[in-house]
This record gives sequence, C-alpha cells and structure tokens, in this order.
Amino acid sequence: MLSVSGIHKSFGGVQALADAALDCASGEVIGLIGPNGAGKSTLVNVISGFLAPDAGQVVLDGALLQGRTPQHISASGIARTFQNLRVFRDLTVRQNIEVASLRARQLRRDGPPMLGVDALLETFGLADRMSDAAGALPYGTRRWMEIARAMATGPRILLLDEPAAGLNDEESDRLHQIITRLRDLTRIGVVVIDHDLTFINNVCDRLFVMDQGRLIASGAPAAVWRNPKVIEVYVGPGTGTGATPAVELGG
Amino acid sequence: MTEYLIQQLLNALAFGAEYALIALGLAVVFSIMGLVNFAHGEVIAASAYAALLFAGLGLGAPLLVIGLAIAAAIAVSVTLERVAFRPVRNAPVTTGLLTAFGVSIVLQNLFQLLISPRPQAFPALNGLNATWHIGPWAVSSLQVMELVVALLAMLALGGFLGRSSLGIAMRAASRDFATVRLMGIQANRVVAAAFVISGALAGIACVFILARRGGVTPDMGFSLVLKAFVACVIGGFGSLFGAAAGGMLLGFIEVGLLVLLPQEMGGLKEALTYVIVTLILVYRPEGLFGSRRDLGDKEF
Repeated sequence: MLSVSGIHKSFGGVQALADAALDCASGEVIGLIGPNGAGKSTLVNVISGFLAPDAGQVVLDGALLQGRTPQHISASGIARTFQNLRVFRDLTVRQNIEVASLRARQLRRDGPPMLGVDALLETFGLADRMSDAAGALPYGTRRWMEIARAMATGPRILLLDEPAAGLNDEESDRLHQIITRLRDLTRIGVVVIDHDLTFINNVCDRLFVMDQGRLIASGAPAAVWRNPKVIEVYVGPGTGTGATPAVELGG
Repeated sequence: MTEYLIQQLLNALAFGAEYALIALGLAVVFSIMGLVNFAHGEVIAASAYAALLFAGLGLGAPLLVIGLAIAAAIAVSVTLERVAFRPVRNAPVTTGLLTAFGVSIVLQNLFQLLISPRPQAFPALNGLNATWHIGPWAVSSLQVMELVVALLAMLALGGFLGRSSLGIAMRAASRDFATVRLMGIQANRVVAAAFVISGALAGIACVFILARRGGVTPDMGFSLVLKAFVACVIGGFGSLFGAAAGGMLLGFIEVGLLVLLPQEMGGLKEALTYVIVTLILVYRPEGLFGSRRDLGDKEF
C-alpha cells in the first residue's frame, strides 16, 4: 500500500505543498481533488519522483521512495499517466504497450498478478487497432493506450492525472468501467486526479481534498462532501454546515 | 558505352552503399542520444589496425579477418561509449560533440605514435577484389559484395528495429527517451545496443575499405565519416532511412559528377557536390526524409 505523509514543497517563496498526505490501499480507488493550484499535480509529481519533496515521506509497501528517480519509482511499482499524453507516436499501439512491459516482465516474475500485452489490448478495447501507429489514434483512444501502457509496467499503484479530461460522457463511463475492472483483476491501488467531480464521486472509494497545498479532508465521498471545509472551498465561504453542495448531485 | 554506364552505375551504388553503412552507424547513435559521433571513423580505423594485428599473429584467413574486424569494431565502439560518452550523456549537446572530436583526435594521434603515421599494407583481403564476368560485362566483385552486404545489413537492422523488443525500445527511445526510462527500461541497455549496432556497421564498412585499399592509415575513417555526416544531413539527421538514402544519393552525386564533368574540371567534383548538397538543404532544411521532431510538451 501507498502511504504519503507530511510532504512539504516550496518553489522559491511559494509553498506549493504544506503537510500534504494521502494513502491508498491495494484494491482501492482514491480521488485527489481540490481547486486549481491546490497542489494536486505537484503531489503526484512528488510521488512519481519528478520532484523531490523538501520534507515528508512516500512509502510503498515499506520502501521509502521520496527523492528517488522516476525510473526507480516506476520500477518499484508506481505507474503514472500524464495530462498531456506522452505516447510513442511512430510505434504501433501494440508496440507502445510492449515497450512498457519489457522491464516489468523481467522484474516481477512472482509479483502481483499482471496483465499481459494481449489482455491489456482486450481490456482497453484496443485489439482491433493494435497495428495502427499511436500518433494516428483519436484522442480518446490515445488515452486508453496511455493507461494501458502504464498498466503494462505491472504497477501496484496507478496514478491517473486527469484521465477524464477531454472525454465525452460515454467515454467517461467507459473509463469508470475500465478502472473498476483493472482494480478487480489486479488488486492495484488507483489514485485519480480529476476536475470532473461526477466521475470522481462515481469511481472513488475515498476522496482526499486539497486546498493551498494542504490536505483539508479525506474519507468516503458522502462524508467528505458534508465537511464544512470542503463546502467552503468548493461552494464559497459562509455557506455553513449542512448545506448540500451542488456537486453532490453528481454522486 | 553501355558497359561504361553500367560500370559507373555500379560505382555509384557501391560508393553509396559504403556511405550508407557509415551514415547508418552515425544515425543509430544520434537518434537515440543526440550525439554526432565523429569518432566513428576512428572505430573503423581501430578495427582495421586490429585486423592488421590479428593477421600479423597468423589469423589472416579472409573469413577470420572479417569476423575479427567486426568484433573489434563492436568492442571499440562499446568501450568508447563507456569511457568517453557515458560521463557526458546528460551534458549539453555541444559537450558530446566536442567529446567526440576529442576522442577522434586522440585516437588518430595514438595510431600515429604507437603504430605509424605511414600506411600499413594489408593484403589479407585482396582476394575479395576480383573481376567477375556477368554476361558480357566485367564487374568488380568487391563492389557487388559491398552493395549486397550493405543491403542485407540494412534489412537486418530494419528487422531488428521493427520486431525485437530491444529494437522497439530503441525506436521509442529515439522519440522520447525520458518516457522510455519511465517504463523502467534501462538507459544503459538501449544506449549500449545503439553503440553495438553502430560498431558492427563500422566493422562491415572497415572490411570493404580494407579490401579496396589494401592498407591501413590513421585517418582512413575520418574523411569517410565527414562524407557520412553529409549523407545524414541530406537524408535528415536522426532518420535511419534518411541516412541510408542520403548515403546512396551522395554516391550518385559524386559518380554522376565524375561522369558528366569534362576531365579538366575533375577537380571541381567535391566543390560541386557540396553545392548540390547546399541546394538540397535550401529547399529541404530538415533533410529529404527528416521530420521536424515534435518536441511535445516536455514538462511533467
């Protein structure tokens, strides 16, 4: 399981993360939400090794990972996707996923259950397009491929950075099904960042709400949305306790 | 007349094949790590001196010499990567370029000091250079072999990059090394593979140069690598197909000028070659088969 605690990170004089935290057990889907600038992406960059935190711990199954390189963290079992899809455009869909599976096949022969390249193509509905160049895929399909590629590294934790951005309702539903299916098949933990709160409420078991670099609430979605601090951040100050925020309608 | 034209066609193909082999050696490394390896010519020369050494030790049978020369080129290429290029891998591009020039100069001088600045005779492969009579035409066996071997090497390289796992990883790395590393693939493995391939291509080129010249000099590779560099530029730097095509095209331009120019203007061959190259670049600055890289969004 992933446990992140006490993360501080400043850029110059700006404190981007102040005591940020989250945790995600295997087989769990958690959502990381908060207004723009809350520090969600910074936290994901710290967890995946793109940024070294000033203080705090990132622990995956007992191993300390903070400050390690992205390569090391990826090999340790944390995979991520990017807001801007970084696919290998010249390679076919199948080859994109194959590249990602190379190292995992060597590293984790007897690790947690892993989906093979064919199973991933099937799960993500990419089988009939597997010979197409990845650069030629429509946006939505490219996104499936990027998630499939992250899964091919055989992760224990999958970080999805705005996976629903740019997807239509139908594709969002499909993303929901895919995340649930992946979780059920492999028992990985999934951390989802997204602005689509309907999607987040539907797919996540627990939510972590950030504001100004701090964790302000966490727990089951229904409880989180009753939290006055969360209401204040999302609906505005002075709304008071007990009000039903508009966003909850989506859940 | 027909025989003359056929002979010149074969000349162009053979020269082109040699440039293509060497250009591919440059392009494979460049596409992965953005390094223009000007020491590639010294890999060729080192491989030739190694063959000379082996022949001196009595290992002079042609097939054995060929095998040993290619093995030596691979060993030298991989060693250079470990010793010279790995330490500057994350440095700016110009640092790599200067390192490659430095390595090239150091090696050439070592050959001069430790062996000799003068050409060393190398007759072991002269047997490859015969005249074959195909129908009514007499052709150089060496040129035919060079063409065939270069084509086979390119096919093998294409197959490797298209089918094998490591080859696919190399193609991915040539586009976006950072993301490939995120997939857990070790950079060292991909880079080493590029230098092995580059070394093997240098070794193959070395065998043909040796057979044609019958001798070894410290600077035997350097001028050819400059030509190969030009071939890469014409074809589009970073594109393997472009490197091969650029090499062939350069062979055709040179031989074409030789055929077309009156004898007293033969000295202008090089100058006109580069005029043509310049014209190509004016109209296609990215090279004939190069594409502007999508740099994409490289932030997190």
